[in-house]
Amino acid sequence: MNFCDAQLDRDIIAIECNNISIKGAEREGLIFNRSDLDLDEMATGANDNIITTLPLKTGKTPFKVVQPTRTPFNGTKTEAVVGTYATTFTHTLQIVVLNHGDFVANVVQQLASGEFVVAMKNRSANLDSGTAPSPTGHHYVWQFYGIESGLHLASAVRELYNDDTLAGWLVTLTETDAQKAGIFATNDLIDSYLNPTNDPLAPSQEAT
Amino acid sequence: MDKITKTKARLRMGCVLYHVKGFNGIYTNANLTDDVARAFLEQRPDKERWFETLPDPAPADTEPAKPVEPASDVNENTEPAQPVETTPKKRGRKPKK
Repeated sequence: MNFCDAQLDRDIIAIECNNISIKGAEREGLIFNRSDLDLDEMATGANDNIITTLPLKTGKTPFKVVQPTRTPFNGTKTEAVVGTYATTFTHTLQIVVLNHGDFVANVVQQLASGEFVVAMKNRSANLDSGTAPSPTGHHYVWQFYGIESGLHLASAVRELYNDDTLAGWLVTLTETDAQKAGIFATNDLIDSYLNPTNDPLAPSQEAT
Repeated sequence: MDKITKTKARLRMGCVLYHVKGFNGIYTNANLTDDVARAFLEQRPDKERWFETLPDPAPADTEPAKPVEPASDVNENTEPAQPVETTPKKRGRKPKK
């Protein structure tokens, strides 16, 4: 009989001197409708916390989510939920929409009823990670939220005189019952979303 | 001289090729060639869905050049070469017309 009994297989290094973590995230992320992702064709890397390929269905595209503030995605966190037989993780993402109007109201309504995946870039001393392994292995800065069970709206608040949101919207999305503490993307994968080549017949040179 | 060829193969957004046999590197639409695409599909024929456009089939191999037989001085099927007779040039005055 097998039990879910994971074993530690490496040292726990609290501080890596050549890769000290910097708090926060970059201002631009990507948001996907989870139904636009072809999860059947997802491929993982050295461990299954790293996604190397995650195609979109034909005709679908990701959307940018931009947080023009000094503390983008402030309020984003991951918490372990300790159960009797298993521990899961709850991922919480906060987005501020510094605006209001019919267009924004429509976006908030879509966020209220949809299921989403967000890719967010963690700030890190080890930029463009994945190419220069640290003593503990590669570090990937782009992180996916919502891959396992989707991000759903937990709250959306608009306060007319709120100094932080300036009468915009504070939207909180959560993913519950996730098995993984963090799922990451390679830089090449994110680049394929950000910089798709538009020319289907891009010339290539072959030396003869 | 570099030969410019158009790449027909095109990956779907979000697809990246790793560890393609016979090629080094990581491939996206920015650097994909039909040769890489064909090599990948040979390894992973179940991944045609990763492609928006499949590559053209590999070009037919040209027939290898037939080895050129070295010229032989001895040929059993022909008579031995006859010495060519040449008349020595005469030196002298031109004949009158």
